[in-house]
Amino acid sequence: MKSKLAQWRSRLRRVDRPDEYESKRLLASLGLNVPEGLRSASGPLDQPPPFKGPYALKVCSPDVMHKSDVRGVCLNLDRDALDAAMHDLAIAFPVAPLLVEQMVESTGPEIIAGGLMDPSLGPAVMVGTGGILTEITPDVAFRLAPLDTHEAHRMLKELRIHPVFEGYRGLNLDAAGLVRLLVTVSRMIAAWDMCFDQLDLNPIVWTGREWVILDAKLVLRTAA
Amino acid sequence: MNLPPSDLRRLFNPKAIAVIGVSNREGNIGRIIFERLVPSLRKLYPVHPRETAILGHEAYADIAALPSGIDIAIIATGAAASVEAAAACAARRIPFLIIVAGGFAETGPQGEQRETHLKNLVQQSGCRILGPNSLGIFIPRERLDTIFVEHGDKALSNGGGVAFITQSGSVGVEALGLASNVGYGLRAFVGLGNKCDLDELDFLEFFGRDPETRCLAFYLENIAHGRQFLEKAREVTRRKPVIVLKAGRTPSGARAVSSHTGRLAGMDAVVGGAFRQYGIQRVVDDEELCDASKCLALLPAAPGNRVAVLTPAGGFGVMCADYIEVDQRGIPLSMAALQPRTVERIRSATLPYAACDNPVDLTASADDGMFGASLDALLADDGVDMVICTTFFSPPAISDGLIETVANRARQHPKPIITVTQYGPFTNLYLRRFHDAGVVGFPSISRAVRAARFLVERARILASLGVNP
Repeated sequence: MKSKLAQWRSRLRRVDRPDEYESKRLLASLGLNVPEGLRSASGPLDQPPPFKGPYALKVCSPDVMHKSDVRGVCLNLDRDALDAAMHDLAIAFPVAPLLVEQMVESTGPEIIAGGLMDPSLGPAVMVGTGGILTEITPDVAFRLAPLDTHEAHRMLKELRIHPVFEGYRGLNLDAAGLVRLLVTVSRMIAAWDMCFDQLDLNPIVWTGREWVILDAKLVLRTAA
Repeated sequence: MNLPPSDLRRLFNPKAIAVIGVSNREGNIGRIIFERLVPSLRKLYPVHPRETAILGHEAYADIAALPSGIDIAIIATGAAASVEAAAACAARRIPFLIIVAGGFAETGPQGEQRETHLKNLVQQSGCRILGPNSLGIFIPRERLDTIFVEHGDKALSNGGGVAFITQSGSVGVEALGLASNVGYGLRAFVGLGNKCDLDELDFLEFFGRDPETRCLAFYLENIAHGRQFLEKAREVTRRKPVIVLKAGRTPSGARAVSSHTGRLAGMDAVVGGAFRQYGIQRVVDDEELCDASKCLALLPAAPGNRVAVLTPAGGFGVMCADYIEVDQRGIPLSMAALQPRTVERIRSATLPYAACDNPVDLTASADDGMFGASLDALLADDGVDMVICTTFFSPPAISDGLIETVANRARQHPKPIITVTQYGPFTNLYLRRFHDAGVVGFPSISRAVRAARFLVERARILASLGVNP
């Protein structure tokens, strides 16, 4: 794990400032699911994306932490709408790369997972109810990283939405799959040594077959 | 950093104690400490440059003049003089120093410098320091007490199973003072103070292994060696409960919190999660710390979460049921569904107008015998995991013998019994009598139900560690 992280870190476009695309490449390399995606150097893509729509288009820069707040996200685009949106975003964010992704169909509530470095206890991992309301109605569980599967299951049991993993209203979200995701994320967080700062995976959705991380934000400690 | 476990035996069972800075002046802190130490029947060595004797004990002009073989030096001088005295004690190879004075790292750069001197002294000499800014130790059964302020010491003198380790001396003594009013079993009190050397990890190790300690209670404002403390706590909690009040909710992680995760961690969700992960029972204030440690030191983990309520007053039964069915701490309790046979047994032993289903209301006409018979029936019911027993002593047919009626069952039956007593100005007196008879009691329904949750939480911790209670 450590060497994988070091290698990934050494290839970042900007030193210790990973963007969403780069963060997702790291997650994918750990066996986690992220949407198919393609990033431009800056502005519109030179070539059409090699995957089918509908598409999501996002401004993709570590300088833009909250993309939705600055209208940096366009969803459910067909091919024509994608071209138009790329044009618009390129004007609004002239120097930022853009990320085109395949839209993912999902069912049930959105999940958030994340991590941070606690000043006294070290790397910690979180799971909870995700989506845009996550901070208004917090439903989260924290643990120190790394986790084993037993502890990750206990985290899910602590959540108020836990019934969605047990067939509530016909929902049968896969707890075991989410536990595997949490264990992997916790191992990554624990392997980062001191350069790790914060991680948000929000939302994470259930497609009916697998858990997919739709958005990822990884913050490393910069020398400054 | 991996620290070897400290050998603290001479600190907690000293044969010879020196008190530095003790005079014959009334109100002198060294003198108050010295007076407190006289009943310990240890060899005592007062040190003062001019006094010839303190309370009949020969005084020594300086530390260099002390005989060898001293286990503890209690340094009760001002901050600057304490540093010099500590160096002199270390030179005499006194293994444990308790430094009472404040005026160290908590006060600014000059104090910080003094504390650095103490840390260096520990490194160089191998002596161990408790404090500075420490009230020291209090071990009721050894009659060993260095605390120079009121702390319920008389009421605590019978001792008990709780090792109470507190970073703040004031919080510790005030909490114990209140707890002692309603009965509390103390194995040892340790005032950590500034923790320049000995800290919570040392005492977690020591009392974790100590056979007389049934339960550990900590008041901490910061956790030294965080992960190591947690790992050790997980080991100790397999054998005995570890309860921590972590005060001072420090912002978690992230210098500039830019993530949802960082903001959701808020002030200390990480600490809460970590405590659950490592089997530590968390409390939020002094009363809860004392209540939790009081019941966990005396009662076993609850075999389940079904509670039977026994009361001589219907209203208290209803309030108790309401408290039980509100989900708190994430530890649900439920009102036990009594077996028909249990209801029948209670009916045959009580008055015609008693309510014999849970909550069982014996009415104010009940007598001691009806309490005893009903308790027997409830404890024998397989659907009951524990009993909350409200006892009032004002009803005419109730005698003081009810204390023994309850205590007898508490001693003989493995299921936990928690009692609630309210008796106006005599409430504390009766709770202490219950405590002396070995019964865990509280002066309110809410505290009794909260105690029940601690017992269920304890059972969950043991189950998650794969330990059979």
